[in-house]
Amino acid sequence: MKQNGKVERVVITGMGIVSPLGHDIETVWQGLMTGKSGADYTSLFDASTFPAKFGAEVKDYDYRKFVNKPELHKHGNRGSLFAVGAAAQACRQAGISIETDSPTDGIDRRRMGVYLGAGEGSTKYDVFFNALVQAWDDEHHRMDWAKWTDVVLGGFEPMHEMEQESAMPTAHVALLAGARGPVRSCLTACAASTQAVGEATMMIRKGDADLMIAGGAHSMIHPLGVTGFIRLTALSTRNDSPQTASRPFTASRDGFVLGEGAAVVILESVTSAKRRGAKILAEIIGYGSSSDAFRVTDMHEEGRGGRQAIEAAIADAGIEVADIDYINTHGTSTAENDAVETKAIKAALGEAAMKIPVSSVKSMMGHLIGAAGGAELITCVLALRENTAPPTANLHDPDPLLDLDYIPNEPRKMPLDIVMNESFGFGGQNNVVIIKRFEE
Amino acid sequence: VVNSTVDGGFDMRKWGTHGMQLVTPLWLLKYLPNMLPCHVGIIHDIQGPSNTITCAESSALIALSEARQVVLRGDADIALAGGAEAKVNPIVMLRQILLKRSTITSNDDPAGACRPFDANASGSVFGEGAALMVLEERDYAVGHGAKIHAELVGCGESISLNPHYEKLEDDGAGLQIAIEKAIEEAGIEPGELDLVVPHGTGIPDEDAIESMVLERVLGKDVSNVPVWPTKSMLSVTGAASSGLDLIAAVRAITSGIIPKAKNCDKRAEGCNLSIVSEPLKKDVRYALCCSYSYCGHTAAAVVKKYEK
Repeated sequence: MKQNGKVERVVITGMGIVSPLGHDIETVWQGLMTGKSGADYTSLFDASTFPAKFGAEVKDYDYRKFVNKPELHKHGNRGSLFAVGAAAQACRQAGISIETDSPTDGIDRRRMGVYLGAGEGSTKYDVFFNALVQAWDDEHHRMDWAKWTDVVLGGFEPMHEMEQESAMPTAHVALLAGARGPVRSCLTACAASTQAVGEATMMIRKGDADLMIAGGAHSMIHPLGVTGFIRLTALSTRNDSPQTASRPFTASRDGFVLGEGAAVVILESVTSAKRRGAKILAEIIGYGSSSDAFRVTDMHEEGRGGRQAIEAAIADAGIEVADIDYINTHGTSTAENDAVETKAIKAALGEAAMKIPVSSVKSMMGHLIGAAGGAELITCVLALRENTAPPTANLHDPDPLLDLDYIPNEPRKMPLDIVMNESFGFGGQNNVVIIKRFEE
Repeated sequence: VVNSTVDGGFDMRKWGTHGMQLVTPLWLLKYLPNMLPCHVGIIHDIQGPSNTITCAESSALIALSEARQVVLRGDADIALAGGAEAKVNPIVMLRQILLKRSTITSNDDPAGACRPFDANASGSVFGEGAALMVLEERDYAVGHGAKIHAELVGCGESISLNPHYEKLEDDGAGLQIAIEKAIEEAGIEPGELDLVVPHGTGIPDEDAIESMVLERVLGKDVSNVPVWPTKSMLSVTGAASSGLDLIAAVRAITSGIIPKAKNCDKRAEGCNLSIVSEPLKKDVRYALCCSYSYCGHTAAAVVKKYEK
């Protein structure tokens, strides 16, 4: 923000994750370094006859391990509970008091906000589907809504219904930390949490908050979510091998693997972080956002919107394209995304694109949809810390038409200072964030 | 779904083999909230930043606040911002009934059902709609000769922290913080407000808390500042509602008339707000809009009469 000549630098001081590769930062990083897959046959419901019978579920997760007052979140939908665990981790790392009316961290709660890219909860499918069956008037071929109402009134619970609102994860996280600043929830499909991080950064730069708890939370591994993606032909149907199904940038890629989870980072002004003596993990130096304005179903063929978002982020960061050391791609493993994203990178970066390694951690973690960008931002910060870029797993038959350096199968040790994270979403939503190793 | 039954009950395996094939391929794209701006963006070829705020009733004001930031920081010259939602469907209506937010005692009088701040209020009425505004940086708008309707001079946001998420907290602190921030950013004293458009749902407990908050904020000026609730006419239109309210406030500014509040014939006990009981001719320079969502999010905005 150039207003009044004051530009607050924004840094990351805490991180937390709940993902198919684990429920803490180090386990997830180990998984990424060893090419582990989070995918397996669907266990959350009976998907045995679905065209895609597998996904990347968060397994063995218990939010109560992360909080002292679990009763405040007992109604939470899957996404809300993931968010609570990830936010608790991030706050602890950043030294932020949680679950207390008397915080000792010195942060004014009116200057602490929340911004998540978050998705809706799921309904009680047994009640929902059976109510439709019972209320179907076959004779007149229409729904008997009065009968439907009677059935669901007996089966639905008020708070469970409430939790279908996609803003609920932000409400849980705000309550956890006592945040009283701006609390926003957005849902720009698969680009949502990168947008949340980017806009939260802008709010701190402008001075609307000193600290933002930002990221994403989402679970669409439920019958209607999976059905929706199947009908869009977006999911991989490699049912004989869930672990190798997500294979971005290969010739044999056939769709993404649906994941779920939450990823939260603590964004803070440098002034606030230093005043508190918080450890700075990385700096957010650039954010760019654009729309394809092309089709609701398809990306612009030449990656026009993606290119624009990348260029905007680079301009915002005030760096040269050649300064970028590594790109964490959106890399979904769909035919369309991986080709268009490659075009967008090449269009935006020119010749430098051929020298910059890129990879997709969705090959291991699956696609966390609203939470994807946040989870991938965390992998970028860890990559900086370890000077190691995570690989693209399952990349054994490279698509001959895609010619970037996709870091196949093995992590790569290399000096990393500036890393770019890309997220693209249905409807042509493009969001890009650039981070940098923190220097005074 | 009825093609997916075994022995009269729903069967997930049959859904997988039969039912889901009948779901329209683009069903998910009807469901994703960001499809609203995507359709608008495609129609008008809007290639700049686009976001979809999903904070229920507070969404439109939060979207306006963010769009204002995007314009002020130079990432866009023009932004289209507001809210849209259709709440009139069985699932959403039922949700509001289960949460005891919808009136269920006024079926014989739909037009009189939503009674914000009224002694006979019994819950809210839910509706649908869209409210969009074009935001431009002031000098840019002047530069291309645009007709300026009003100036968005203050935005504030916070959240109600209540373990009973569906209700406002008893002391209304989150709502008060949002309102105070908006007034502070506008650079005025509360007494300089010429109009308040409250959230006013007609849910008695929530109206009482909002009324208390506004009385605290306005102080002694509570007897001078007209309050005009709109949901008795517009209903709770979800993400659109705070946008519709802002447009209503802008029209009051540009017309110099504050219409009469509907369905508020007898103020609820304890409510000391100056509800507009007759149409009021008034030079409105500053108007405040308030909103809160049933997830807790609170947002407020101050609009100012445009003066060259």
